[in-house]
Amino acid sequence: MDENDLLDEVDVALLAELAEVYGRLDPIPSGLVEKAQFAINVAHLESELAEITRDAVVGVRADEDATDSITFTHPSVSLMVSSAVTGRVTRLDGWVTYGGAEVEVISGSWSRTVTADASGRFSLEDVPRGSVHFVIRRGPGQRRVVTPTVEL
Amino acid sequence: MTTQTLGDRAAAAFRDYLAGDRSRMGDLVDILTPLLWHTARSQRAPTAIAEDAIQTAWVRLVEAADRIQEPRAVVSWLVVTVKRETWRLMRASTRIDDSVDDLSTRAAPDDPAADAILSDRQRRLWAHIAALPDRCQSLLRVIAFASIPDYSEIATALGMPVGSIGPTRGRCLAKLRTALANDPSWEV
Repeated sequence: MDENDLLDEVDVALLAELAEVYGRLDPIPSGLVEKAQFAINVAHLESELAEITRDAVVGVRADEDATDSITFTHPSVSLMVSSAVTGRVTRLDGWVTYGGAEVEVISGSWSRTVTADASGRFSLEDVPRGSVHFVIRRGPGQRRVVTPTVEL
Repeated sequence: MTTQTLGDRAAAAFRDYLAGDRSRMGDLVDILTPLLWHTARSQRAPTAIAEDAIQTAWVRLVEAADRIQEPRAVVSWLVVTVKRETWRLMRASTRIDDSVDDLSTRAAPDDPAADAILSDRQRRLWAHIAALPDRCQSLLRVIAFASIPDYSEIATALGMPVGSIGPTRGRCLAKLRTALANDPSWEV
């Protein structure tokens, strides 16, 4: 048997028999799926979702240069962002109620992370306009906070 | 009858999850639990450690989900993470009798207890598997719970690449085929 040969139907059948043997000798413990699901649910709770509390649409007049602001709130951290649009990009100036937090700005496959200064201020140039959401990371052991998506 | 591979189904579920449908993570668990269980156990992890490693891997996935750019990568990502968590937990374990839980001692080919579990044919197959090098046993055990098109990607994730072009048989499966071909009592 040449190891460089392409897999054939005998290999496929053999692997299926192998799965049967291993499945009988070492069955998946009952409850493992439920335990995994529970761990995921807990992890979801630890990734908290912030709420939009003001100005759900930023720069709604899409064909005009505009400056507008939006606030996201969460029991342990808030984020305020103002957006100054220039053409197809925008400049963000933000303030997070946690000095030194990392703020990630995500727009589709584009993302940038900035670190807020000690007073929580940060800014970011040339953010592509479109659907954007933010992830706030305050450091090890702290739950990250994710915002809903807003249009810039 | 679906023609989708394990990797296809997992990628579809993960893509939906990333788009905001959290319930699809439950589907991902259903799809991948057999593969991940045998990944952990193939590293000779005791049952309790294997279960812990798998749960930890899912939590890591939730934490890292928005950084995995390509949904198809989720299977390899989980396999690697389960393997790494298994090792980490085994190193941290104070148990010294871990090998007691090793499958090769639980169901030795001549173990009468295996009679009740396996057919004659399965026992002959098992004897040939048990004679393979450890690394080959680990690889084939994991691959058996994936789909053929996902074979090379998962083998690479386990650190045992099986050739760069196409789903080739690889050294371990070739060894098993040769052993079976030389066994007059084995019928394909």
